Amino acid sequence: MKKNIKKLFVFCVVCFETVLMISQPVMAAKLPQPKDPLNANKAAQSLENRYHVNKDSVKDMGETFNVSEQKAPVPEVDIFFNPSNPKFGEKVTVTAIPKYFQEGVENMYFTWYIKHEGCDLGIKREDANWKESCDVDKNGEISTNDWKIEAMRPAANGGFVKAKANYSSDTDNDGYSAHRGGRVNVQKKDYCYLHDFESGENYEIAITDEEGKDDDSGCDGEVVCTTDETLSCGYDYTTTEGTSSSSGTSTTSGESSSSGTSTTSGESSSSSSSSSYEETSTGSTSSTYEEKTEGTTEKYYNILSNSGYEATCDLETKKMTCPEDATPRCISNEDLDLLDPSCDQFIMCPDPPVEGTDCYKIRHEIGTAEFSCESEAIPEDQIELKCEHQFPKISGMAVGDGSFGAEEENFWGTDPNDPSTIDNENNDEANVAGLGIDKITWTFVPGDKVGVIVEGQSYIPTKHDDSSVAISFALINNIFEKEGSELCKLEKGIYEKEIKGYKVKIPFAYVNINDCLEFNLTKPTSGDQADNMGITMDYYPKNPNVGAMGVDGAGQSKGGDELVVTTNTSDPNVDINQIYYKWSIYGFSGNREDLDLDQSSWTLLSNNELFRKTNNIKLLEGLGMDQFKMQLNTTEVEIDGEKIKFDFLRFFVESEEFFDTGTGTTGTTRSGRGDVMVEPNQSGTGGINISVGEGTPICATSGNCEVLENQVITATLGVNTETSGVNNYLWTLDGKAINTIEEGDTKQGNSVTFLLEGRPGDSHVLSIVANDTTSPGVELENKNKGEKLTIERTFVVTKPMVGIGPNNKINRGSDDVTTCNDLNGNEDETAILGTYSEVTDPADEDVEPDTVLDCKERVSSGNGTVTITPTYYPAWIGEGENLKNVKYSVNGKVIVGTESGGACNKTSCSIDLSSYPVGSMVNISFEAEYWQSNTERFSLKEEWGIGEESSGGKKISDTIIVKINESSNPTITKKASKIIAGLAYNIPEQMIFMFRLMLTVVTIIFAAGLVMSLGKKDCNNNF
Amino acid sequence: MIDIKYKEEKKLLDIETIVTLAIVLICMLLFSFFPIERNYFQEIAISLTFLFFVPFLYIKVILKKRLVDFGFQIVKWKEGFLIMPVCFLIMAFLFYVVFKYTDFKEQYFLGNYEMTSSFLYLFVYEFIAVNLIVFLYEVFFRGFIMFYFKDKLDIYAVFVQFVIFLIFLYMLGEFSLDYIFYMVTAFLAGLIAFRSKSLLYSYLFSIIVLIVSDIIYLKLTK
Repeated sequence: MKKNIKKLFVFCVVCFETVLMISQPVMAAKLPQPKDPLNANKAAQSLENRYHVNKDSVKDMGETFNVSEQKAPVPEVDIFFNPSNPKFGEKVTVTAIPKYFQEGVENMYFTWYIKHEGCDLGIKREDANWKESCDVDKNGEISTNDWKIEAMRPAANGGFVKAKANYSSDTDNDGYSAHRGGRVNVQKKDYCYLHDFESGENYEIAITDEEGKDDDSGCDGEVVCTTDETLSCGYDYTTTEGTSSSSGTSTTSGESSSSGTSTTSGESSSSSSSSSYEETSTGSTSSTYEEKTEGTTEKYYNILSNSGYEATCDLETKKMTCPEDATPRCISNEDLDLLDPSCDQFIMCPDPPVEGTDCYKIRHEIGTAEFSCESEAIPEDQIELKCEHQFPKISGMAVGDGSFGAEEENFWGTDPNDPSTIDNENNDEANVAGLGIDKITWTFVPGDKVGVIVEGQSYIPTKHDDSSVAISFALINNIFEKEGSELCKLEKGIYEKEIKGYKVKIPFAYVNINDCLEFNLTKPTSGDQADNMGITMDYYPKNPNVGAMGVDGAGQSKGGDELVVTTNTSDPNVDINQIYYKWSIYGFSGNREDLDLDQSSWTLLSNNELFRKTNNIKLLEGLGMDQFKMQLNTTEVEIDGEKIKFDFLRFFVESEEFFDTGTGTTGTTRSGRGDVMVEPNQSGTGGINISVGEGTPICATSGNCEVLENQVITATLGVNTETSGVNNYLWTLDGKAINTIEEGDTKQGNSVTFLLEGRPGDSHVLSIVANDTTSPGVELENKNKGEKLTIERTFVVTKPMVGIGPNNKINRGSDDVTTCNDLNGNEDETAILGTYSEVTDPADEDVEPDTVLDCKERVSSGNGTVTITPTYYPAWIGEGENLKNVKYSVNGKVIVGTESGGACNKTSCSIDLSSYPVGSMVNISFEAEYWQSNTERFSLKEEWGIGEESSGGKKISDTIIVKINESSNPTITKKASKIIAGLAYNIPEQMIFMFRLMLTVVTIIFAAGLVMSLGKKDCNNNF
Repeated sequence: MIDIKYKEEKKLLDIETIVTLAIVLICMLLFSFFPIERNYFQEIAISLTFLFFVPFLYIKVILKKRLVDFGFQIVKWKEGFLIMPVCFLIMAFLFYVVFKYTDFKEQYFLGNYEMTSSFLYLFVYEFIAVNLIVFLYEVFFRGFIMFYFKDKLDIYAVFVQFVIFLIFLYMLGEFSLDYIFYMVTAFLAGLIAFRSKSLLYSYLFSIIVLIVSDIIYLKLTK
């Protein structure tokens, strides 16, 4: 509105200045000179220059001003449903949101209407498809009134139980007089308007008996709405002449016919023909004949036909218009019979026809099209304004008349003793009128449709000389005229009224809005069809890591983050446990620049059994699986023999829920689909290198690292700094940041040194988080590419130990110990105590259980020269120069070893047992001390506060018993020497043996003699 | 009449016989199960003790008999040399059958001994180890057992000592094809000793047969 005023003001200024410029002052001092004739263009140009008015801008403004009235916002209404896809029997609430009305919803009228399935308009009681439940007003015919009552009744009574009320009297005085345009309308006169959304024109709702004369100026004849038709006139024919010779006196004749000319506009042809000939024979031998042959082409003619529609003058375009596709043509009276010509009219015409003749006209054009017209305005007194409410109408019970008695209360089901049955701010009749009722609720049945008529004051000013604004009606589809409908059709006209001394033309139109309601219905999202289930997805953690805990013995990454992907449906009423979910995982290998979202570029991973097993994926589909979990141990998959590492993972979910259509049909489901992409961090690449002391490497780059207590550890990230751009590091030990840095440094680097305290058995987790984030101003290569990694190592504080037997507690179960051996390296079955066997599925014959031999560890067999090889735990204490005072002993006799040289050292010792007899037992012992270097001890003392007594040497020792056995290659000479050696060496033992033997012999002989003597005595006595 | 019957019964089941059988059994058991360290000294010691010294002491101290009554003599040398060839023939036939129709060649324990690669080692084995074993078996089974029961059972004493020898082998766990020649020579040597009243001939027979069987084995397998 303000814009329009502004434009008007500028225009007035321009016009005024133009007038002023034309008036020239008299120049008395000068000789009268012929003045330049008045030039408006120059004046305008001067104005433009003076006020810096750009001509094009003004032109643009003027053009916009011309059509501004058609661009004004007009009242509309939107509705939404909750739930948006209700099921059979579910309560659904529809809410209207009116727009561009002056007042708020509380002051507007909402006339709702509901159409149930089978309640089509016009069905009468006697019809076969009559449904009694649709005839709410009980008038024997289904109309929009039934629809309105069906909606407004429950809106007004809120489900009030009529049985509670006594409708013989009404005590609540709840009548309401409805003002047109809304509760607060105080206009002296109400003008209701309809808006034509196509042309943008606003029409005052009014009717007239007088028909507006259409001035057919320019048309001497009659304006006819014509259509193009096609006339089919059979087939063409050709005429041919020929001669024939014959003898005899017979006269034969035959006939056939075919047309001589053919002017067809058809496109088909056939092959039939017939001929005629006439032969007269009087003894002569020749005759001529004319042959007509029917052609093969079907003849069509384009003609103009009178459609029967009446042409009207379009008030906007000032041109005659016809409904449908008919074209208005001005046809002279004498040419009227050329419309709808017959085939004969074409047949009689020559080809080509002469211009200006009827033949020419019917072949080419009859009359003229595109001619203008003017509609004459009707006087004001001949029109009747029709500004009416659209409330439901009940015979004898008008809504909004200020009277709401018992009968009405009974009809509407409201409480006759409660002025507001639904307990809102309005009384019952106001609620029936729909005052402020911007939402209704009903029990949904598939097939239900709903609409609303909103009545209120718009912002559109009328042209009348008062304060009136247009009272507008808004429909949900804004259809006030439906092409092809006889009833929902705007009857337009113009009436003239004198306003402020001027004849003002006001366009008016009339349509019964009720006739257009069937075109302004909508329904919730397919009540009888399942819609899509809205799905959103999310995942946690946001930066998941792959295989952060290094690799296991098989080289597989392990210990990755547990990734949880969740899916949510937008429908809060859905039962998750009834929804069937199916998950799938896809992978993409490449960097972000190559990333392609087309699914065909992604590889399905979830069908790979090894991938599922490695990443602890159990379920992929099932009921209620709105959450998917996996452990990101690896994203490397072997496909067709090639190992591919996938940099991106994409999780797809499909959901299905049974949908009850309420119509008895089954098999319908609601489905949803969603996906989310995850870029996990590929950790474990490179690992962490661990060293102690002065750079002695310990442990492998991955896996658990056994260390001693009070040890200073140096951890270095093992990435290639040339190819990797990571330059920011965060080292943490058991979750706490390690803040030890080198002197001069201000941030953590790729290496960190820390003290690992704790008692044997304690474990600690060292982790590093690194990325390549750099501030934009810093010029560095390979930065800010999103590279990041997270790696963890577990340290286990342990007590140092050593084992010297071939099978000892340290190498027990290790991969390279598969047999029980003696000290000579031979397999010794007598050393096997048993086997530890893993329990596996007996039904799975392919799986072989892992077994660990249980061997004798304290006693071993051996002979000759044996090699004692200590096994250290942790293994790295045997490396470096930290083992001191290495000693081997045999039966308590020391064989002094050195750290690195000599026959016996920390690595091994060869001991000759040949001097010991077979069967004897020999004790072999080993002991040593592990010392940290003085530098390390000093550092512990000064930097870490660990006293010297705590960093002293740690003793390790072990003893085994060797049972001397026979050599597998016995020789007589060796045996002889052994006998002698054995005898010489074991005399005390043999002496004992002999003594035992002698005792036995004596006992036997003595016993025998005693028995014999007793027996003989007895015999002698008996004898 | 009554005195004769009584005297016959007294000879077979008298206390002396029972004690002698008990001594035999005790010696065999102690030989098999006496606890020793696995060294040659002790093994030889118990062999000599229970297969020679104990029977010797029993005969001399308890039975108070002469050793010549237990085969320690050379009397009927003709008988000895006459019967030996017959026994050799029988053994020859046994050799044929055993080597031809059994898997003795594959399982005989002598094949596992490295000593067979050297003649010297083989000689020492055969003439010291085997010799000692044969001598002890002759003394115990033929000399002690057979000659003791010879007076009571006559020719059946040969079978008795044979059966006891088999029991002995069974106790040692050596009742197998490896010792087939030992078993057969035990019987035939018993016959020879019975006829010749001397252990010498049975000893010679046994030692020859066992050495020859080893030689034949080595010949056939090496």
